[in-house]
Amino acid sequence: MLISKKQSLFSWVERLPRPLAKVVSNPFVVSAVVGVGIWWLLAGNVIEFLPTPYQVAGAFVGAITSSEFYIDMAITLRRVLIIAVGAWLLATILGIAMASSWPIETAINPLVFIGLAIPAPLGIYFAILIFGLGELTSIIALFVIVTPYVAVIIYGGAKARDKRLVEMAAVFRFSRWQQLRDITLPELAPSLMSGARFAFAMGWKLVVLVELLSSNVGIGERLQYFFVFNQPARVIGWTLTFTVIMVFVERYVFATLEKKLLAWRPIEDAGKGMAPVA
Amino acid sequence: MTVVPSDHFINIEDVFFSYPQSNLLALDGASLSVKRSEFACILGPSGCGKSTLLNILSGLFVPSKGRVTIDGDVVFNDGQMASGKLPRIGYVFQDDRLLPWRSVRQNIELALKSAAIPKSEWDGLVEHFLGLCGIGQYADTWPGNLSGGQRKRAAIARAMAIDPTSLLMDEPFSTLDEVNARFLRRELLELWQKTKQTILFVTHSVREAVYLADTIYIMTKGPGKVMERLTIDVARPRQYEDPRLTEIEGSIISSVLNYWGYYEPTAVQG
Amino acid sequence: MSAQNAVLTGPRDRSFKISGMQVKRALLIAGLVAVTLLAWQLLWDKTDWLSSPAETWVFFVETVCNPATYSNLAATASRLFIGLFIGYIAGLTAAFLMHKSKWWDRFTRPYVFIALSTPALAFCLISLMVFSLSDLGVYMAIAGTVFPFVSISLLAGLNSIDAHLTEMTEVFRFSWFDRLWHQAIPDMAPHLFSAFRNVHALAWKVVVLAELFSAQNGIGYQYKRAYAFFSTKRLIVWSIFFMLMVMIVEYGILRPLERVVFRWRK
Ligand SMILES: Nc1ncnc2c1ncn2[C@@H]1O[C@H](COP(=O)(O)OP(=O)(O)O)[C@@H](O)[C@H]1O
Ligand SMILES: [Mg+2]
Repeated sequence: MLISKKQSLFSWVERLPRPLAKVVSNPFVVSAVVGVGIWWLLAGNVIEFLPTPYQVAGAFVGAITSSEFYIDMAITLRRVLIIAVGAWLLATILGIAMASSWPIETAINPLVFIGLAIPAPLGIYFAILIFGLGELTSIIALFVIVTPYVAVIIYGGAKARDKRLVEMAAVFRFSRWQQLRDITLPELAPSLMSGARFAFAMGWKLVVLVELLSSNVGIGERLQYFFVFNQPARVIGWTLTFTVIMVFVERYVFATLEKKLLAWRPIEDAGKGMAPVA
Repeated sequence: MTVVPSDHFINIEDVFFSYPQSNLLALDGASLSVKRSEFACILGPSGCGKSTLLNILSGLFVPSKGRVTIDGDVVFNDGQMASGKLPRIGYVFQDDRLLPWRSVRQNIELALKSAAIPKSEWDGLVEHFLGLCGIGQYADTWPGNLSGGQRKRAAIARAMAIDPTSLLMDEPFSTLDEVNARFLRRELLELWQKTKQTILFVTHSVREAVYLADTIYIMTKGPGKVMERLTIDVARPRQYEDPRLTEIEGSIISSVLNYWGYYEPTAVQG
Repeated sequence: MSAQNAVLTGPRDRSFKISGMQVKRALLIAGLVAVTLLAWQLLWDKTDWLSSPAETWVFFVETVCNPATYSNLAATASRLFIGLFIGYIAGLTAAFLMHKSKWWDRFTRPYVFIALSTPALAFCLISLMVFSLSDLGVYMAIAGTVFPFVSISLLAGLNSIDAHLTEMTEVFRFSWFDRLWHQAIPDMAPHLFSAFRNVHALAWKVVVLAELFSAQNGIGYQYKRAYAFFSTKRLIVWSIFFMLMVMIVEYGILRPLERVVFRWRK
C-alpha cells in the first residue's frame, strides 16, 4: 500500500535522466529544498522580522570574508580549548576520586548537584561579582559551569567498572602498570571520550553566553552587538559559522579519535555523548 | 499434493515463504492439515520453519504462494490475504510474551477485550482458565514475580480464554525443567480433553510429540517442507514412560536420523 | 505462606531502616554545611560583594511573603510550559519521521543535528529578534533548544520497543489504543522519563536565559535586576526559588509518577 503510493507520488522522478533522478530523490536534497522553501515563504510575510535565506547567506559570506571574524573566532576558540581541556582534566580527577572514596563522593555530590541545577547566567554573574570583568572571569565561569557535567559522566563510567576484570588481573598477577594500561584505561576510555566530547560541545555553546555577559571581545560579544542593533540576519549568519565548526570537530576530530580508541566496542554504543546543554 | 479431506479444520497447502530482507526460503512448499479437536504436533529440528508456520497461521505474515484455510474459510491464497477477518486464534509463543507491567489478570483481560468478548464475562473466564491452569491465586500478580512455569501457564490461560478456533503452541515447554514440563504436558492434555480445542503444537522433542499427539507432522531439516505424517494410535490417558511410546519414538528417531543429522538427547533413556 | 503473600501483594514495602553508612554520610554533609555557613559568616565582611547570611535570610523571608514573587514564578513557569509543549510536539514529529524509514530519517536528521549544535543563546537571540521580544519569542527559543533532545530520546525509545510484544498484540488483535497505552508507552517509559528529566532541566535554564534579554518579569528578569544592583543576596534567593521549582517537579510529579509506572518492577 505505502510502497505503491510513494511510487505514484514520485513516478515523475523515474522519467528523469539517471544522475539527475538520483540527486532529486536524495533525502538530503529534498530536505534542504523543502526547509529553505518553507523558510523563504515565511520570511518577511508570515513572520515579519525573519530574514530571508538570501539575507542570511549574505551575512554568512560577509562574516567569513571579514578579518574581524577570524580575530574574534580565534579568541573564542582559544577560550573553548582552555576550558574544555581544563574542565575535562579536573572532572576526570573528581570523577575517579568520587567513584573510589565515599567521603569524597558524599562531599562532592551536593556540589555537583547544585552545579547541574543552577542556570548558567547565575554562575557568570557570580564570577563577575567576584573577579570583575575580564578574561579570567570568562574562563573561570565557564570552567565552573562545565566541570560538574563532565564529572558526572566520568563518575558514572568509573563507578560501573567491572570488578571481575580486576579479580582476573589479580589472579594472573598483572603488574600495576599493566593493570592501568590494559584494564583501567580501556575501561574508562568510553566515558573519558564522551566526557571530552561533552566538555567541548558544552564549552562551545556556553562560551558565547559568557562572552556576551562578561567580555568585550569574542563571538559572543559580537552577537550581542548585532542583537542590540537588531540585525537578525547577521546573528543567524554568525551562528551558522559556529555550527559548521562544531560539526567539523564532531565529525572529523572526535569521530576519528573514537574510531581509533574504541574500535573494540560493539557498534550500537558508539557515537553517544551529545547531551543537553543550555 | 495430497487431497485434503473436507473434515480437516486447518489446511495448509503448498505454502512458500521467505522473510523480508532474506533470500532464503523459510517455507518451501509446506503442506499439512489438522482435524477439528485434534491434537497435532509439528516435529522438526530448530531452524526448520516451525515457528514460521505458526506465524503464518496466526496472521503475522502472508505466505508468498500457497493456500491456507481454517474452518472452511480461505485465509491466504497465493500471496493474498483473503478478504474478511482472520479467525480468532490463541497463540502460546515460545517465550511467554506477557506484558510485564500488567498483572496476569490484566494481560488476559486485554486479550479478551481485543477478542470482543463482553466485559460481563471477563471475571468468570479469567478465574476459570487460571484455575484450570492451576495459578488462580496469582491473578493479581505481575508476571515478573512468577516463575517461568507459572508464566507459561498464564500464557496458556490467555490463549485458551479467548475461545479460539484453534490453539497454536510454539515449544511452550522447551525452556522449563523436565519435571515441570512433564507436569504441564499432563495438565495440557487434561485441559484439552475438557475444552476440545484444536491444537497445533510445535516441538523439537520426539518424546514430547509422541506423548501428546494424535498426529505428528515431521519436517525436514532444510528449508521447511513437511516430510511425513504419522498417527499415534496409543489410547489416552497415556503414560510418559509407556513402552509403546518408547518404541514409536525409537522408530521415528531412526528414520529421521539421516535427515536431521543430530540426536535428540531424551532418546537415550528409553 | 508469607512468601506467597509477598508475591501476591506485589513489590515489598520499603522498610525505613537506616544503615550506619547513611548516618555517616548525613553527618559529613551536615558538617560541610556548617563549615560553609561559618566561612560565609566570617568572610562576608572582608569582601565588598558578598551579603551577610543574616541579610540574605531576611531578604529570603521578605521575598517569600511578597505576593509579587509568585507572579514572577508563575510567569516563568507558564513560559516554560508552553515552550516545552511546542518543543515536545516538534520532537515527537521528528522522532516518528526518523523511525518511519531510512529515507525519512535522512530527511529529518539534518534539522535535528543543526538544532543540536546551535547554542541556546543563539536560539534566544534569534527568536527574540524575530518575534520582537514577545513571549512568543521565549516559547520558540525553548522549543528550538529542547526539540532535538526530545526527538533523539524518543527515537531511542521507539527503537527499544520489544518487537516480540508487538507481534503478540497483533496476534491477539489489540486495538491501536491498547497497543499504545498497554504496550508501546510502558515499553518506552524509561526513555520517556529520562528524556523528560533532561529536557525539563534544560528548558528551565533556557527560559531564564531568554527572560534575561526580553521579559519584564520572571526569574531571569530578577537575575538581571540582582546583577544591576550588585546584590548577591538577590542572586542567591532567586536561585533558591529556581531550585525549588525544579525540585517540586522532580519530587512532586516525576518521582511519584515513576513509582506508579514502575511498580511492576521487582
Ligand atoms: N525474522 C527473521 N528474519 C529472517 N529470517 C528468519 C527470521 N526468523 C526466522 N528466520 C529463518 O527462517 C528459518 C526458519 O525459522 P523458524 O521458523 O524460526 O525455525 P524453528 O521455529 O523451526 O526453529 C530459519 O532458517 C531462520 O534463520
Ligand atoms: Mg522456533
